[in-house]
Amino acid sequence: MNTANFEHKMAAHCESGTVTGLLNYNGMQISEPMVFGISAGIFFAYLQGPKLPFPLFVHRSKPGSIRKKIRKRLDVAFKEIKNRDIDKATHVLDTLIARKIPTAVQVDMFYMDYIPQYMKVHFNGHYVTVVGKENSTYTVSDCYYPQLANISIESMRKARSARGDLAPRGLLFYATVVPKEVDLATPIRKGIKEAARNMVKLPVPFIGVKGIRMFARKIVDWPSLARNEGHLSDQVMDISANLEDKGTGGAGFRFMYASFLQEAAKILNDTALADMARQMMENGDRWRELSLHAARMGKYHEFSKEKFKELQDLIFARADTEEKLFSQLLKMIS
Amino acid sequence: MLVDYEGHQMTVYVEKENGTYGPTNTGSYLVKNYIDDFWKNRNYIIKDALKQLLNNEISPVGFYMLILNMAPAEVASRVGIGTSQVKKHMKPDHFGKVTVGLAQKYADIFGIPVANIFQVSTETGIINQNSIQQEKTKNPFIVTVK
Repeated sequence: MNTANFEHKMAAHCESGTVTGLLNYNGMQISEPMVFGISAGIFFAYLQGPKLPFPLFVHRSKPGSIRKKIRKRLDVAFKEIKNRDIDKATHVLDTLIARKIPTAVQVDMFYMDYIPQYMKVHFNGHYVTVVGKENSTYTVSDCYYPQLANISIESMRKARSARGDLAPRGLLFYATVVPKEVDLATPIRKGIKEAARNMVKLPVPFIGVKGIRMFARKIVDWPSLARNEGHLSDQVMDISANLEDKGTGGAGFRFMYASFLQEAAKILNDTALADMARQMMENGDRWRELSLHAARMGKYHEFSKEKFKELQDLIFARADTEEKLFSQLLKMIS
Repeated sequence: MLVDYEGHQMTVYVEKENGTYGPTNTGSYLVKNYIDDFWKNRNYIIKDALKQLLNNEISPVGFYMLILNMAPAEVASRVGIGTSQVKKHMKPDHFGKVTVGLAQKYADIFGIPVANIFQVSTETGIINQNSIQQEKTKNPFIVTVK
């Protein structure tokens, strides 16, 4: 039962969707792309190392940063409680639910009962909003799921007490002070500036546009890193799943960022920014073509050198476009 | 690229008729025809892992790690033991040193009852994907089987 009268909405990204849900519930009318853009959610990094079974890329900022940036830039106050003792953490959550306060919790996605078995992966940076509790189940609003979903108390305890990288440590948060009206102009500028800097200015070889280029350079070596063809097809298919499916709103958040730029252009009354939004949308379409190419390779096991070279060229082309786009954005804003 | 796909709805930001960009809840051509289709038919990974398990080349811990695509360091930090210990437990020779309590922790990470550390289905490798149904009991070490 939804005890908090919380309106469940699907969203592209779990964290920005959860934060937007809490802000809307508390009276601030703001869209998900605006939250995503202000908090500089767009990103790129190519990661490899002993802790990872295979190299991977991310195109979102670090889990938790959206909440922190929104708190800072929109003068919103979130009450955040962390508790490693899962008994105490569960007690705090139950008390808040009894007071009918929708509460966001950080969880390991693997233990969400409603996700199909074949989609279950361990990822500690997932966020859901708990809106009710009845007998032995919680009612949760998960932005990736069309309706409110149920999850058992036992699964919720496991999900909140999971260990490993980005461990939730029983984190929960809810909004305490939310201004009804807020001037978005300055937060928008700050958000764009930070995102553009992350993409083109950071002197780190695996982050931003440099990261996209590193991804392109390394992709041709993937066949030698895989155990066998089956494993390689898994990993190549994962490129497509990462861009399209894992809560990105399509094209690795580029469509959502275009939507943010369009909204921002209206607020700042800036036609040049509206043009950037259009270019970002086109960029998103090209990311999607790349995604389709990878999906075809993965499904039909097309792993010739030529195919990898084609994929590499598509990725290099994205790096060039994004370097141009984010450099332009940085110039326009500063 | 957007199709009607009830089984996997997602939010995608698209250009609307009036030229504005906004969210729409829909299915995706890529997800329907490639991604979901691929994960559902990902049997060769399981078959390969099962073959290694039955030939005593890997332990049950190694078997589930292959299926879930997890690195030893990740499993170690989740279980709360050292990476080198997990690497040992992936080998059949050392698997015998695992205590029942530790096996329970491994099972929690793999999302299976502890009984499935010691039994697999010869068809799919994973027990609860075929006709055998397991139900949890209040005793964490016991599942009932139907």
